[in-house]
Amino acid sequence: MNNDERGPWYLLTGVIIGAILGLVFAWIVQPVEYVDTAPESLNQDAKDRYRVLIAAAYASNGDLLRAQARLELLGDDDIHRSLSEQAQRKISQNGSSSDARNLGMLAMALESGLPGFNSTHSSTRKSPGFNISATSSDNQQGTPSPENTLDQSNFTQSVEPSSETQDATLAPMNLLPLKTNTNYPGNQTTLLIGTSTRTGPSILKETSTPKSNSPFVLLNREKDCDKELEVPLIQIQASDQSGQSLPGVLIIVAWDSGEERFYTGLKPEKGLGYADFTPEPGITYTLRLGENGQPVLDLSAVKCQSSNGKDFWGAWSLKFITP
Amino acid sequence: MSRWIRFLFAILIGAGLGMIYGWLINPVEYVDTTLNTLRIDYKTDYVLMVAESYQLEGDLSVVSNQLAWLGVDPPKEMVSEAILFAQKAGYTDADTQLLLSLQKDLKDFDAILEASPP
Repeated sequence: MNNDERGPWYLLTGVIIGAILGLVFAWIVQPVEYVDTAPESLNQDAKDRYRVLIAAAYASNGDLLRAQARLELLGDDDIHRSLSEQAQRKISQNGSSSDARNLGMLAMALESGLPGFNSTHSSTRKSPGFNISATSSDNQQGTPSPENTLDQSNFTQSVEPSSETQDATLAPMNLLPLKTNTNYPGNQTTLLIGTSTRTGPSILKETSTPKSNSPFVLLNREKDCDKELEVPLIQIQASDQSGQSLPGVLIIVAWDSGEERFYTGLKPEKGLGYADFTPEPGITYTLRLGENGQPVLDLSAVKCQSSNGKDFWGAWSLKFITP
Repeated sequence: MSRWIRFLFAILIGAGLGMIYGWLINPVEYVDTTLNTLRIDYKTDYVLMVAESYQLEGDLSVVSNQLAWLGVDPPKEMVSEAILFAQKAGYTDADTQLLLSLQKDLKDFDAILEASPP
């Protein structure tokens, strides 16, 4: 058979061989190396770590807009939901309770639009084995930086200047959102995040948000058989004397062989002062709010009966207020 | 044109088509990356978050653990890189000070470790 009789199939063979060589080069000889990626492309585990750190930084500086700008980098469809779910995962997996609390508090702050934390700039901090002189940020005065003075139209929220009569939860902060600066060498978009600068009094007024170990008293304890529940519940509501729900209140549930700690507000769809716990049938629990709170004894799974004699699970409803 | 030259052209065309597919039609999407691949500005912000939370926690072992996810370099080197970038990119003084404070504490801690008997 001569060349003409074999036809043009050899050309197709060449294209296929070329494509294979191209793929071998791209996948094996010179495979893609991930560099200069953005937080949005992180895997789930890394995103979780990133969120924990954002929440920890927020717990420290109380800068909600900065935290929000950082969270938006992760590209979550629903930032608030991602935080809440991660907080609940942390609790269910017996993860760090401070991480769960930070995540929950940030979720609630985003929900309510308020900083959510008391001023946490501490002038005394735990030492890593040796004493470190504290650097309180409360007295830092904002120094306008290039990115803070540029592009004011991009500000998504403004906070009124401080007033002596403002509550600390409306802390006198100049909150600056994430800014981008395209002037960075290489003309790449550069992440620059503004800083929160406290311009008001360095000692903030007392707020209605309690510390996690503040004392509470039991206002009401009742069995709730109004709704048929799939599992028994112990439902907790924490509020102040004016009836304002209080998020971030530590709840300790103890039983013979264990203890569980969680916080109000991790299910914000049910209220910022709400939390619940699923008791195991047959086990008796003691519950208290805060480390030194008044214990509520003899809590166990509530069994209810409908009018037609059918059994179903109910709930203990416990309402606590600040004294 | 000889048969072999045409064959080589076909290979080149195939490789070209592969690259058009790989770069234009179905380009690589970065998913499931890890923290150590972050761009320098994001890394710097990550280090800044570590410094911010350190202000509250004050625990250098937590700092080391958090920074370890950014790569294999020693923590103080990562903080130094972040400071350099922060200064170049015009971070605020307050943020730069946070980074500098963390760097100082890391150096002090290293010095204590080096001075302590094995």
